[in-house]
Amino acid sequence: MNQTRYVGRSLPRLDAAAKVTGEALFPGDLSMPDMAHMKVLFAHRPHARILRIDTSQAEALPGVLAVLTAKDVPVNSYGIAEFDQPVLCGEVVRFVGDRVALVVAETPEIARQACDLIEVEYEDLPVITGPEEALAPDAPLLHPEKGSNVLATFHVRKGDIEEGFAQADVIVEETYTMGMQEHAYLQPDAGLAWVDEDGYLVVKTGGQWAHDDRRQIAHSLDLPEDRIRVIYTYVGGAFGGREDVTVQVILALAAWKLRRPVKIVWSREETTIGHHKRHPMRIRHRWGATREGRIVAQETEILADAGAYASTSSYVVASTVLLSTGPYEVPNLWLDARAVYTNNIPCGAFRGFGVPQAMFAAEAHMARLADALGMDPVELRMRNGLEENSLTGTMAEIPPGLSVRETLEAAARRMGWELVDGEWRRPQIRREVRPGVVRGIGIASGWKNVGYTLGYPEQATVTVELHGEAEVERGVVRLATSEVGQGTHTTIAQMAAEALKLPLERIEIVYTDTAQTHSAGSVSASRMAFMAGNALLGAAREAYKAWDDEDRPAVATYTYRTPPTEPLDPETGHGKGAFAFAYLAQAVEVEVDTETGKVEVKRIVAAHDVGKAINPEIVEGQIEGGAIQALGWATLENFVMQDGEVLTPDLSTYLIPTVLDIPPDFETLILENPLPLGPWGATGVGEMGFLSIAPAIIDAVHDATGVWFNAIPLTPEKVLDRLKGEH
Amino acid sequence: MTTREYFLPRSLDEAVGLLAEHGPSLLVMSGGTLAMPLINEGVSMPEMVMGLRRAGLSYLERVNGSLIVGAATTLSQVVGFEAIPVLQEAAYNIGGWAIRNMGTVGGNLFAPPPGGDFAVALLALDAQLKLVSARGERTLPLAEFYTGFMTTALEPDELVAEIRVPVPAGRTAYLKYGRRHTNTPAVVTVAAHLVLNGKKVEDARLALNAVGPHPIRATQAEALLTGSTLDEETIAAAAAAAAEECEPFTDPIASAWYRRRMVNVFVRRALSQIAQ
Repeated sequence: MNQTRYVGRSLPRLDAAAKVTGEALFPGDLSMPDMAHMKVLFAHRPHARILRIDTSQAEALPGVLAVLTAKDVPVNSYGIAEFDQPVLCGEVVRFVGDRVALVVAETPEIARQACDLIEVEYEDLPVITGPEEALAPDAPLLHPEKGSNVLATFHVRKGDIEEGFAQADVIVEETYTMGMQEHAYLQPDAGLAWVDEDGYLVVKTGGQWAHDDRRQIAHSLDLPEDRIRVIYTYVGGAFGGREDVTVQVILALAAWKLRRPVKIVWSREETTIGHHKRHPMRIRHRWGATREGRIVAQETEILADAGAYASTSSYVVASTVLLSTGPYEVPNLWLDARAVYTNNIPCGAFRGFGVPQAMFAAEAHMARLADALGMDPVELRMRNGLEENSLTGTMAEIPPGLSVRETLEAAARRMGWELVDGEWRRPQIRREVRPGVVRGIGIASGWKNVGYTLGYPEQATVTVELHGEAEVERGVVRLATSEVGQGTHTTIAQMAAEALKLPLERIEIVYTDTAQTHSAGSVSASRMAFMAGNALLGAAREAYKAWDDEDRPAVATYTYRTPPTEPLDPETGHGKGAFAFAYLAQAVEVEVDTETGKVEVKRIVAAHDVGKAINPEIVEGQIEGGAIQALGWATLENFVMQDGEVLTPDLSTYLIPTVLDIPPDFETLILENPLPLGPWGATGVGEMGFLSIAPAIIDAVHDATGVWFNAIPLTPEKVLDRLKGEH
Repeated sequence: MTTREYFLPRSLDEAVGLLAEHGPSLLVMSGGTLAMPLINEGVSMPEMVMGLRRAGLSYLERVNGSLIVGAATTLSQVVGFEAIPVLQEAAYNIGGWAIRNMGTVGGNLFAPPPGGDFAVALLALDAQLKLVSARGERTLPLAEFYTGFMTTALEPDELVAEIRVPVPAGRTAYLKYGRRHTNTPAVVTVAAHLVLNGKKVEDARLALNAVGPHPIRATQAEALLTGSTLDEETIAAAAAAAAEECEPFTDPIASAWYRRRMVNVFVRRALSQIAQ
């Protein structure tokens, strides 16, 4: 690679000044003259039949402009993977966040009062509170037309599982469970919609994929997509939580019906019940290994709570399946996985997309297996790591860019592991920090696909314009990518300047507006820098060709497509699920208060192969942010649903880490083995920081206390209960 | 209903006059950190609201061995006022800075558990409340203020105007145990004040929060401590007594089982800190 001018530099964030000064607009800041305000009447009950809705009193309240119910929705369904969720429920509500009616009024207060005046008569139905209940033979069906509460099923069969276990000297079986996680993005869902002077329906909001929002709006309103324009402002966090639509369709519906600008701002509680969560999962692993530490068999069962609607569950659980082995060579594999409907909040995309669950179970199990073998966990991982000629669990070849051992070695060495007589050895540390407080260290590896998987078309389109006469004076880039706080606009600008061979300040970038950009896919799956970078390189090349042909301005629209992937075979689970993987290892030091059960992470070492850091500081920020979010998932965040009701609807009951909960000692080790497919060698990084913190904590807590934990979150009382065994 | 009227009285007299006039239909608000979220969410829709921020109730003074605190004094003001360190510490342990800049000393008396982590320190220090109405004023020990969950001995026409905190004669400790480091709801909060003569406990006040319907005194543990020698055995016995007598509840932060157990741990830690 030639010397780069912008790629590889930690330029200051381009959005920082506007955000610090308050100049940057977020969806809740939008307003228009003559705008009306909307409020949603949520079901607030987990499963019920609607017998009657009476809106007459609400409609009679002065200042109320409209009360909309199911009968007002042209095509009453939406959804990112399936159109299975009613825009407004007319017959049955299936979770607390289902919507029953919309009130549009002159003020938010009137809208709120009118909501209270809507009379809904319900007949409560039996509530399915978890996947085990949903699978019971006499369980009521949440979606009777599907004939079953099972949303998706996967089977993977590799080698001969019986034969594999027959070779094993040690067999370890454990079941791991993980709780629901809320994205807790800073900015509650909000937006503004109107019909413009040319008759276009405009929705201005924040999300992760404007073109897919548009597709869903078009479906529900039965309008052609080109009548609809979706524009994104800055977005206050997303983490996958804005991959599904929240307020987009209802805003569009109200503005279209009323021909007036309509605004909505959800409260924290509405935001919490109004969008999907990370899947709670139960994963049973039974793995066999030889005395020398060769894994010979893996038997796995995965059960995921999908909640009330499909969302992206089938893809999320497929990702759990795809990565379930950890980055290891497993010759014999038998795996069954199911995602199941319940009356809980629907679960969908959340940073890592099912892979954190896979890594938690696989890597915690590697630690257990190492323990059973009397072998160092780093040594066991080194002996089983994927090789270039390995086949994955789904019988796919390993794409170039393998760095299981490099990342593991980097993290392990930094945390004090040493090679002694050719074998890795955990550092001996003093256990007792002070009376009642013990210390331990732990480590885990990780891997995850970059970009979409399993045959989902993976492409990004960008338009580049070169303006000038004799020389290129300035460039314009049109690219639909959403700045959700991760720094993508800065990363994109650096790559654009590099690709267009122009100074950064002579490039104008038009971001997410479906009227001005083509789809680049979602800001998710650790894909945008990778996809946009490749698309920019292609578009710049084409634009310069047009420039040479004397086009003024020279314009090129280019679509980058990745090598194809394929869905897993329904019987065998075989298939090339992903086109590229990224690798990492994370090590932690914890302290456990044995009187209170509190686990505190004091130190993190995160080693990530990022291919090429386009902006190293942004890369580091992504890794740190992911790791802290995982620390929350593993130790602090406890989303409680009881009988389908949410007991933690706000941020004083659902506790996420604050700045003081971040370990004082956090070291990110960036490795750069260029990915051949990647722009300037870059691979994806957005989700990777999340992946292996939780299992590393499990390993460290065992190191400190001698007790293994199989369930997260590790709330202090669960830890104390196990340590003392008194409850 | 939306709120029809908002009063911002300029004096205590004006405030109690408005309260006498409008009675219980008037919601009294100090910093607003408890009331405003409920109003904004439509959970509570008071017809009339009276704000106390301009009523001249924001002050801190040292008078004759006591600290006098106006009810509308913010927690941030307390953090910055060096008179009674344990109060500064208690104030610092409430919410984040935004909450401390708005939330007040008087308001914290009305925060339902697990809120009330400032009031629990006041309880340990035997604070006296000055209650004022258009009829006159009276003084009530904070220990007699709470009558149940979200109920108090305050008459409908009375306001908490001022809090008098005697400068502690003995040693104090304040420990708040939450699930995270800051801005955290309490699993349990312990505030202790012990007057010692050598190792002998002459007087003990031990207050607990988040383990009862309101900040409570652990009277049995206090009785056990008073007259005893403050050694490991006494401390363990007092901690066990406090754990026994508290009335913990279960919420998403912690179970009643865990809270009771943590009372034992944190009372012991607080008393050990004093014994050192």
